[in-house]
Amino acid sequence: MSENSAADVTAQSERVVRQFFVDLKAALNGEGINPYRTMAGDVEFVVTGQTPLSGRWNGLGEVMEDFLPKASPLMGRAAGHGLFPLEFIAEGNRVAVLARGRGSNVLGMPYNNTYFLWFEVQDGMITRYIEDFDSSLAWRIIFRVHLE
Amino acid sequence: MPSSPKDVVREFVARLNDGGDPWTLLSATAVVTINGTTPLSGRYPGFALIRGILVDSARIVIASLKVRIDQLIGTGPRVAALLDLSGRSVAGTAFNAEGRLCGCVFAVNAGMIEEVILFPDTSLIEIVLYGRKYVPDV
Repeated sequence: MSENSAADVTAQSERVVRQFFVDLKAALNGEGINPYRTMAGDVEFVVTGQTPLSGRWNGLGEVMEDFLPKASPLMGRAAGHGLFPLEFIAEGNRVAVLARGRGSNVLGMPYNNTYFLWFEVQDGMITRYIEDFDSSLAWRIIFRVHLE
Repeated sequence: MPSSPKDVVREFVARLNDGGDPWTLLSATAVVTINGTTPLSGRYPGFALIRGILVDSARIVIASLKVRIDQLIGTGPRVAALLDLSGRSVAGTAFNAEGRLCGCVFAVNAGMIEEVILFPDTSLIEIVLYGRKYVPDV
């Protein structure tokens, strides 16, 4: 593959991932956008950690029918909430993003996590998504548990 | 001698695994950040704190650790990796035998690592290394 082609693939992959964040922000703003429209039908969707919501979902169907129905009721909704990308490191069809999140649990307790997000892109769609974060914080705030 | 930032990271990980000296690839003013809120988490600037707090604290709970690079990307001075961190606690419990991956970012300058930001499985750290449990709030 020529050097220009490799750079083109990298740039295109990063564009797809940046669009994911744009879509997510629009969805949180109530604009009626499906934030997962850049994910392929056979996406591998991973949430790291040992929490009740950690795991692997194979395909967008499982994400929409299993993961989201479990996750959404646990999260609060408020102005200013979102996932804010800080840094993109991309090469070829792989993109890593460092991000900060602002959110809350259903009781309104702040849930502000720090993320390492991994994306793999094929034919303009995200085929692999890994959400790596402070799962201990997520478990305690979202599920309202404490450590003993 | 490793040349590219990715080569430096590969050599650093190789030395971590084979008992070599990884410190000669770390800048004396390197900053290591362990994401999260575990007893090992925090920002450690410089050798004195990396060794004196992070490494010494980790040795109390980790008996053995193996680092495998699953993915490594980056065309500039900052590289991102998916790592498989597995091993055994001092209590004898194996951790991450499943080979689950975690994220890590390295900043490399002139052949030396200046920054490491690791995103470990923090709930696994609490459970396996510190023997803690997550209990519902009243």
